Amino acid sequence: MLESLLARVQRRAAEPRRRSSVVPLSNAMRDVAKAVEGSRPAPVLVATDVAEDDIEEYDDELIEIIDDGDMAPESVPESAPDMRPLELSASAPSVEMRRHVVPQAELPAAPASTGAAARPAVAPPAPALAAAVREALGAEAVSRKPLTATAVVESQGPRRELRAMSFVELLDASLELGS
Amino acid sequence: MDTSSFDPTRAVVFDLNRGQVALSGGAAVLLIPAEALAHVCAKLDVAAVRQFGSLLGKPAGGRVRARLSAASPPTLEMMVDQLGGEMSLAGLGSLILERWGQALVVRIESCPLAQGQELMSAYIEAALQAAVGRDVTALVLERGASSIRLLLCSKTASMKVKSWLAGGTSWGDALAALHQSTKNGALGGHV
Repeated sequence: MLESLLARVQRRAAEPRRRSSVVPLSNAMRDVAKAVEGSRPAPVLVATDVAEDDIEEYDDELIEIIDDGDMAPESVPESAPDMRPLELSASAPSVEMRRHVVPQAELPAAPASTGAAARPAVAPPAPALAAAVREALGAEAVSRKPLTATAVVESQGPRRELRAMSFVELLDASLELGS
Repeated sequence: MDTSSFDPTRAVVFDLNRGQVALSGGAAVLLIPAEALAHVCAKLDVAAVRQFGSLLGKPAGGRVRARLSAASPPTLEMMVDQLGGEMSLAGLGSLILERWGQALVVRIESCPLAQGQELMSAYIEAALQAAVGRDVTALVLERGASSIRLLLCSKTASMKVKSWLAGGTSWGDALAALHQSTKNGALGGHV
């Protein structure tokens, strides 16, 4: 059974790239089952008795072969193939995902940076483009309207010129100091 | 140009026949070298010098009063012109009046007497007493190379300022302290 599967995989690798090139393992198994249904006795699938480690190793080789064929230049498809996730069969090791509540203190200190790191990097615009964008945007500034010329300061009680003040008054004020 | 109201025309009359010099309408005067006068004043005590200064200032103030009697009351500019004119005729220097806050300060420039501060202090006191009838103390604030500053104040204030000056306080700070003491006294505080 394994040899037949290997032969099938090799045959598939040599063929041109088709739309659905990643064939889930379970479909392959089904194809094999259908191919031999009418001609030969159905292969004995002892899936339940096969060790999980063996199946895992085979799965890795299968994936590797397919990937090697994809990497060849002459086999590069014109359009990107559809990526379908691998379907896990009953014999495959189960992966259980549990949501783990992370304490607040353990959260990263810079979520912004984490988010930025998670986002794909965006190349900065070219300097000429940036300048053109700035020029097109322009700055909108609002300033006050011009003021009409007018007197701003108004003095009350104009100060008397010293030389015109009464000498006696000034003298009396000086004599009052310290008295 | 605005000229002074002091008219020195015929202010000094030289009677060469009689060999006398007199001020117009006044008594005879002497033209003596300032250096000789300073030498004599240096030999006298302070009281004698001050008495000499009063004798010079009193008739000057009288002449000022006579010229200003028509204008009432006399302005600061008029007083500077008239009293300054008298001093210029006597060769005692140029008179300038300064006002530092509320304090009147007399500044005499180009006084020929090297140690003439006491003489000029007495001169000013007597002249003002004769001109405006006020008892004034002209306290010596500063004696520079070519100028003398005199504070026109009361006797009480002059004692305070003199003590501050003797303690090393500058005359500017002393004037400020005098103003402050006056303000404190008006508010009922202690000086």
